[in-house]
Amino acid sequence: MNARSPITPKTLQSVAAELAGQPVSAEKAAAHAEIFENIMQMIESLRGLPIKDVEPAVIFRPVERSADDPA
Amino acid sequence: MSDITELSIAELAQAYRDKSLSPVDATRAYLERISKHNDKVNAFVLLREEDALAEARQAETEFAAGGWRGPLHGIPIGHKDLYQTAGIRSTAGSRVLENHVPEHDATAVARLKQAGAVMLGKLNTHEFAYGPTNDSSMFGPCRNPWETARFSGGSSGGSGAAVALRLCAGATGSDTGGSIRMPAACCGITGLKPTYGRASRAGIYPLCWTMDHAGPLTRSAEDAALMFQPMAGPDGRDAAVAERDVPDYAAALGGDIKGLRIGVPTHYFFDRALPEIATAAHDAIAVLEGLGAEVREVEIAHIDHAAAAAMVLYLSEGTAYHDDHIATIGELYTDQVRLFLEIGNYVLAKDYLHAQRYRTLLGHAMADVLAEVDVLAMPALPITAQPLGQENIDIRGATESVFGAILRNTEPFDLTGLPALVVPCGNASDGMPMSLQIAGRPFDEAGVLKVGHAFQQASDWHQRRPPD
Repeated sequence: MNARSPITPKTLQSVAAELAGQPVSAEKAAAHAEIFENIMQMIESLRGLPIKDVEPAVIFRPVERSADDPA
Repeated sequence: MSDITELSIAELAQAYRDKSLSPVDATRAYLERISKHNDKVNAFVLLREEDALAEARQAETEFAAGGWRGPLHGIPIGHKDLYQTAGIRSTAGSRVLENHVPEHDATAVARLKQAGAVMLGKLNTHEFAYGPTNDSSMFGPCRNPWETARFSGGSSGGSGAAVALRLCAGATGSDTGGSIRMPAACCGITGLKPTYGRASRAGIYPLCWTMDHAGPLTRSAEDAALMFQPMAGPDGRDAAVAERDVPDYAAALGGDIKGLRIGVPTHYFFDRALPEIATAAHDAIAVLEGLGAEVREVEIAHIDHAAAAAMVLYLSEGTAYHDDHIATIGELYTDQVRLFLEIGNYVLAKDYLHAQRYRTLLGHAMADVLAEVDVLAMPALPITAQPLGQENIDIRGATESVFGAILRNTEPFDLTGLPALVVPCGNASDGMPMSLQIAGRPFDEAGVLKVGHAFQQASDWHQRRPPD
């Protein structure tokens, strides 16, 4: 896995506006960048776990209706 | 009148059966205490005096006719304002829902009503349950009854403060990272987070669908068993609830704990706690050992990543739930919660799934340990309740955020869905309560309650309360 680049406010502003549909100001993006950089360092530890053959705890379950359920 | 509010749920139920007290007596006594003491802790945010008294009179009428619904019949309780209550404003502590009046009760509310409990009112909560301090709420912070300049713990802060200060006999809460257990520990009372899928989440505003749990805050493990009984079991509304029989939790409290195997995970849970808290937990475990339990040190693999995984889940699921509101009415949220919701937009899908895979990994690690011992025991929290607004704390020479520290010992049991009970086990040098956490195998609420009850039969920390 390649090492990631440090987070920049410009990146977060683009993500917020262009992907999330929830634009933030440059000032807010700068504050977010500092916070999220710390969070990313925590998240990176998860990326290195031995979980190749480990399934997510959330597994799909088909919807099944009983005869009592409303149509 | 004030003596009535010192009675536990079990004692009050017996007094009703003996006809030495009535539900109207008890309800009036609690309403009087609320009128005198609620302002200093800001626990109750909505009171229903006349309706509560009407419910109490109804209970009396039913008793007189020979009807008794069970040990919660006529018992005055409060509901966390995260729980929807039909016809009664339910805000989740947020201006987003400032005037919201639901049409339907949460399952837990309906079941406790069916059991005959008297609803005194709604209790303060950290906004949308998204915080461990209950200091971000449209109603203002909930304060710790032991020292009102400190937080109550959250997110079920109103529930913790109200039970500790004898403003109600029991209260409902919800727990996603520790939000039943943190306020219970901060306020010196008992709190039960059951197994994920043991009790319905229906009608409780979600924080994280995959980590939310409903449970009681009470003065004792015995009371927790009584109050949790009707909350447990499938309801046809929450698809996560297991189709499993619900045992009689109160009946399971009996007997001794000779031969019970207690695992003590020193790494992570003790070595990163304030020294006097670690000592208090060890002393509490020694009490259990004195009752015949066997104690052994255990190691839980991969535990160090719990905080990272929990953070990813809070951010992702919380933001997804509030997605429609963040951009349009974001200004209605408190600053802290809005910040968390905005930050959640940056989490990648693959990291969310890594976190969910970590849960499986940790679940296996816990199951491996719980194959060798019956329960785990450790400090409930690594710190005590801190002054409102304090951001950082020094623990054994390392500075960390209060938010991060207070969640550390409780989060692993939300990640794995295992049942966990907290019981008070001392007061620290700052005067604030310290607590022991007892965690068990899936669906062994009876087991953890039994251990908590045994401890409380051999100690009196749970009978201590903050001064008025």
